[in-house]
Amino acid sequence: MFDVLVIGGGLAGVTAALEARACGARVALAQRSWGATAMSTGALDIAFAPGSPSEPTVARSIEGHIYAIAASRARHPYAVVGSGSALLAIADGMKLLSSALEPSGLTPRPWEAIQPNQPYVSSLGALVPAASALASHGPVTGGSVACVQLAGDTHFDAKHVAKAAVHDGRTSWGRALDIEPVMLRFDGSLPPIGLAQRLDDLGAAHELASELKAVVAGVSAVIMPPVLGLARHRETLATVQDAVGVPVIEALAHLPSVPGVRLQRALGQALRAAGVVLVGEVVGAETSGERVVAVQGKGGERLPAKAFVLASGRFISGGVVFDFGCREALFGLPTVTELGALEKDAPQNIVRADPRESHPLMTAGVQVNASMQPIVEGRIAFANLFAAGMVVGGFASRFALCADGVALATGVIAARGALA
Amino acid sequence: MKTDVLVIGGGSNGTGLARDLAKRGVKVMLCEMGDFARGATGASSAMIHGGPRYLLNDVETTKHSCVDSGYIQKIAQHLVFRIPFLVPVPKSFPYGRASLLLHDVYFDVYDRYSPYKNGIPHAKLSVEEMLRIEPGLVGDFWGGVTLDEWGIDPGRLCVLNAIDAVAHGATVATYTEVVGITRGSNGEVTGARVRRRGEATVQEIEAKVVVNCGGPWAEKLAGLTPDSAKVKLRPGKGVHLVYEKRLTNFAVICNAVDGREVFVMPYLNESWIGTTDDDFYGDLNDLSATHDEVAYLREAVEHVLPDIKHQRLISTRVGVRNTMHGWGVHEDVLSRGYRIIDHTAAGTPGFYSLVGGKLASYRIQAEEAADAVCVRLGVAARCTTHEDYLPGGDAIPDEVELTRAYPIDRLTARRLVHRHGALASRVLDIGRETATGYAVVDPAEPVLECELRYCIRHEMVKRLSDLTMRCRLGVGADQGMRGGLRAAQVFAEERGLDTTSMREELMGLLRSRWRAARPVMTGQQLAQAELVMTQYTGLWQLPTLNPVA
Repeated sequence: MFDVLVIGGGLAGVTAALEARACGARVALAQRSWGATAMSTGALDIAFAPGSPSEPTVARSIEGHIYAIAASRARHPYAVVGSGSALLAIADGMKLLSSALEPSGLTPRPWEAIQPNQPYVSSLGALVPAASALASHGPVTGGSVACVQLAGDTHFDAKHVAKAAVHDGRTSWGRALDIEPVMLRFDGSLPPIGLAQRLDDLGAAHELASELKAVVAGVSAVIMPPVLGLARHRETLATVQDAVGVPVIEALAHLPSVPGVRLQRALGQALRAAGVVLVGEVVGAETSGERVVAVQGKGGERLPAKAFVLASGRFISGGVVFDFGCREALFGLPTVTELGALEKDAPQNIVRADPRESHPLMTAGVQVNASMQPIVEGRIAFANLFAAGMVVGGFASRFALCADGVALATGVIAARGALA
Repeated sequence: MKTDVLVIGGGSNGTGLARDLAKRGVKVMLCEMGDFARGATGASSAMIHGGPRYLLNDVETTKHSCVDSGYIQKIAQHLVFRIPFLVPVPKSFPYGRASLLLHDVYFDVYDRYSPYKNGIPHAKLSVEEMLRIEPGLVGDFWGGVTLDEWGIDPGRLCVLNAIDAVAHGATVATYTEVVGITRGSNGEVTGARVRRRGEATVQEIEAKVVVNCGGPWAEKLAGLTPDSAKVKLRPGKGVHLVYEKRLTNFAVICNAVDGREVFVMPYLNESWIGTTDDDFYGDLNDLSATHDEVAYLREAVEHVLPDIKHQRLISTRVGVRNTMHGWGVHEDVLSRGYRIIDHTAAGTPGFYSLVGGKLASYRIQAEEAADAVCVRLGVAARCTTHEDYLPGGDAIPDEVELTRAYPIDRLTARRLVHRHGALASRVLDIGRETATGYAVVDPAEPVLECELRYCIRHEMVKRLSDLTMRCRLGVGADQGMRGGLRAAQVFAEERGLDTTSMREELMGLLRSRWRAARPVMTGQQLAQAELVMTQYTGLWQLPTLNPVA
């Protein structure tokens, strides 16, 4: 019998499981497969509310962004739990995450709620704001920076990335940046995951490092495509870093994302190290009145627990499904959007014609109270069920850059609720 | 600007006509308000078929289509491919056991037209034989009948016609809308006023003849002259559903809930279900499949091929037919015939409208329109479009040879040959220019970087999203997520665009794919949409949302 059974192994589920373990509970975690966390860019997005021409937001503190989001979006989890509680829970979640990722060498950069978001280079060719990022990624602060292109690499085009970063630095951040593309002969024609695996071989890492050293003399930092090792990322990064002698920064990744895979693997290792029992996929739930009694494993096994945390994600991860009617996948809970309850609608009615608009459907998930308990028709669905992460409805990360902050905050709050 | 003939519309009729006239030595200009094949042609079933359906009401159309289909197969041999059809005869058919015999006799008649289009005669199949071809069929059948038709890439057909027109001296302007027809003191056409997309100024074009090939927009264009009553269409909206994979061996004809025939058809690496045909009086520039249309098509096919329920539906193709008007008849019975209307009697000499017709007979339609125009201009030259190859149509290169000469695989070679025919090696030579020239940009198709560069340089590409119609960029299940960025970078390099313009182009591509996928954004495709949005629009829009004061 477990004290807490967490459904979902992404950032929210792992945070909940580690928080519950830290409180001494017996914890199990069910995971079907890798979901959205394995597609992470490497940034940790906590809060960034878009500004208006009259009110630039790059200088606003992260705390200020959280308050702004909570004030303007009534169904956002930051508004539901309250900005102050959200901020405290995020800080606690970051501490858990930092120590969990320490063995993998991914420990996130320190962040301060009173500091603004920092500019990070993205492999798409953009300078995007983020509160923090995994260790190998760093903000672009200034100086003379080299942006490295591997031969034949079609996933990371240094010319475009450098040009776009300089453009965004000038137009969005008010900074004059000096970023120049640098071409290497080192073969980068493999897809990103394959390239990262190849660079797990330290011989290949040395080869890359020595070529790099010869061409980047005099720069103050080097931006690399996010492929510096997968399983042995820590060693590969150190090899290149030592040879070059200046900070080596990996760009934030688009898909397929090496940093996402590193993060997902490191979270798995952290779960095992913390003594969380991994139970595979769950396919059904057994409820009795106002309580969830057990969930059912894929092989038919019954998994009882005192409390459950639902952290199964949204559409990408399969926690919420939509097929002319939208529901949470495991318990069949109804869903809400940031506009309110979601009726049986055709996609045309809840997905706008232009992808850049705000689409109600893309904010679909379960409705929760401040303790992260799913609410159905104004009442708590099950006394011992809590939700965390993207399965919670009422927000989309796209307009608030908050996915990781919400995962950490709701993961911590859900775990505490489950143990209360 | 001054020309003899101004052709309005870049669909199969318009581009076919521009080519025909240019090859006869006539000075011709074509204006298209968007890109080629953006209307009825691009949203068609992509078949140059005789249409056995029309045998019942419209024998002339069947014959015409079959004859012209034969010509098109010759001049664009690389662009066409055989599509075998299976018509299962269900026991619910009203004539009992005789139903199969009736089908057999019916297609005996159709077979008479087959030699014109290099068709294989039909075959009558037992239930067992039919199930061997399509094991997924479920239901009670007397048996089935096969027939064969030809598929074609309709977008490329228009592009190749336009390119050949330009090669023979024509001027072709896409993203150029005709906003007015100018007339002389006796009402005769003197030209048109046109406006380029994104520009406020209106340009005058002088022309002795103006031909309206506006497809479903023909009525609106004719309305620019005082005699709009002469062109009357009964536009029919047609929807196709696009599945990620080939789901059947043959194209299978199914019956919808209202008894209409609906087909599921393999098209390259996809399957399409089509079509609906409903009167349409909405905004032609804002088309979208409705929930009811999606459900209607799915249901029609799923009751005989139930496994399709579990297959991934990735997008839709929506268009409006330019059907000629008929009063008091069902949509399906309306003629697919065509008319060339001379507006002289209505007071606008020199203005012509080519209305109605089918993709399969676009060439003969264009030829007859060109004949009428040439009579007016006093040009004696004859049509040669049925004999002269379209660009790349003169030979089919050997795929295996191409895989030896260039670092590409067999599938890529096959698709390149399909799209570019004899010009495939010219496309591939461009790959030598850059280190990533032979890299696959969009793995769903696959599309190579050198093919993008070739199309951008030589195929009148104005916007990044035009590449979808040139080489199927972004049509796969990921709707441009993997290929879009790299394609935008290549486009920016070729055109010397800055970061802002490059992002606008990428957004334009994603938006066009988004619009096509939106009616079916459920299940896995919704997760895909969430991914696309997270990856691109989330990151790319931030600069505009976050201006520095």
